[in-house]
Amino acid sequence: MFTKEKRLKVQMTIMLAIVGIGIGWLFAVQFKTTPSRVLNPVTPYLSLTQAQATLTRDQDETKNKIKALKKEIDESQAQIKIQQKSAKTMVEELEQLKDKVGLTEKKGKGVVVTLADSSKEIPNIDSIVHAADLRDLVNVLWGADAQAISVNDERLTNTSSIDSIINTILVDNTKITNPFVIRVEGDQKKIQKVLEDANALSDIKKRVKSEGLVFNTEKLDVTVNEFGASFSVNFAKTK
Amino acid sequence: MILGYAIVSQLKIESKINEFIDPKRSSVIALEVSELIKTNQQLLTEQRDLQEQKNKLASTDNDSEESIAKDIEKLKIISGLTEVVGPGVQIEPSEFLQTVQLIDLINALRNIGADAISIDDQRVVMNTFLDEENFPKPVIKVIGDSDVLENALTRKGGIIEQIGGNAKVTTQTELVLPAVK
Repeated sequence: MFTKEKRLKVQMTIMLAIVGIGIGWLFAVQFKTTPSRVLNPVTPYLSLTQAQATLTRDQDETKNKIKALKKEIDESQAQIKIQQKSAKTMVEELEQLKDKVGLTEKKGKGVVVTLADSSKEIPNIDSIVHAADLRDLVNVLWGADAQAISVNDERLTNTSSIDSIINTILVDNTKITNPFVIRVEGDQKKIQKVLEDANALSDIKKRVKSEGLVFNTEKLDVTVNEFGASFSVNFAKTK
Repeated sequence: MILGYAIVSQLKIESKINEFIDPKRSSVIALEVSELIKTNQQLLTEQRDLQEQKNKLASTDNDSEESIAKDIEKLKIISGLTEVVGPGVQIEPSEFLQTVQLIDLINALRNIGADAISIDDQRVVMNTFLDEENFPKPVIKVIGDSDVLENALTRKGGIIEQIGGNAKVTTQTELVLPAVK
């Protein structure tokens, strides 16, 4: 039979063994996590994030310069329209074309569609919005005779693309984030009818029910921003 | 207590290091950086072109009219109001393309920098509704950098593979695309 003293000894031994194993485990983990190479894995990561921040800042600055230049060009053209009789018709044609391609702001009756990730704590592939959802939605809206569309205030044009890098969505290579607000100018009844059609956007509607994806529509007076950049044509020529 | 503190600290450090060196996270940022570099280059070119345009408008009457005429031509091409000609590629899918495949293909062509696109000799513009029923076996013509387009479409992991289709892609020195009807 164990005496009190012996029991104490056994308990102490067990305690010491636990502490010993714990310290041993810590040493082992420490050795395992220390990179065996000279390279510090944190440095490239930090360089990448710094480069990302610098490039994003540069992009914003260039966009602002482009915006200012476009405004100055518009003003110059308006002046030419007044001062040069020969150019008046040309400037008027240019103004109509600018309006057609999305280089002017549009205001009017329309619909605002909000597409957003589900508020589920643990997201899954079906509970978040993908670039493909936005592409499908935009296609359906054009089918409903939309006159102008913007996604998170990025105006869509003939050259626009909606893409993704893993979970980051880009409109014309500009990063946009959840929630996604799509402003559409056009016939409210027609747009609403198409959006409510059970056959349209069936995948999104299924995920609204099963995963809590957010898909709301509202008839409103809308302002659709003008396209912030300019166009470049490098290979096509008029015949 | 000391042992507990040490364990918690160790776990925290480990998770922080893992967060930093997580290849998935780093590669996402690397891709974003690469996209930013590409976009910033495009934006700088745009800025230079606009500056040139502004200077021309401010110079002689002839120069300003030339600049306006150039702008008109460019926007006519963009809007699809005029027939256009140029090099590019012709894509002939070997099987039926579903609506989502068409949407993804046209989106990718725009992202690569296509100047003009047509499907079955119908010009694709901003508000073209893409629907499989309208284009049961589409022939897609694209004006742009033919080498870049062909490579982006046909390489392993390229657009055709991404949309899960098969297609014959041929480069063309001159394609003629109609104006919007």
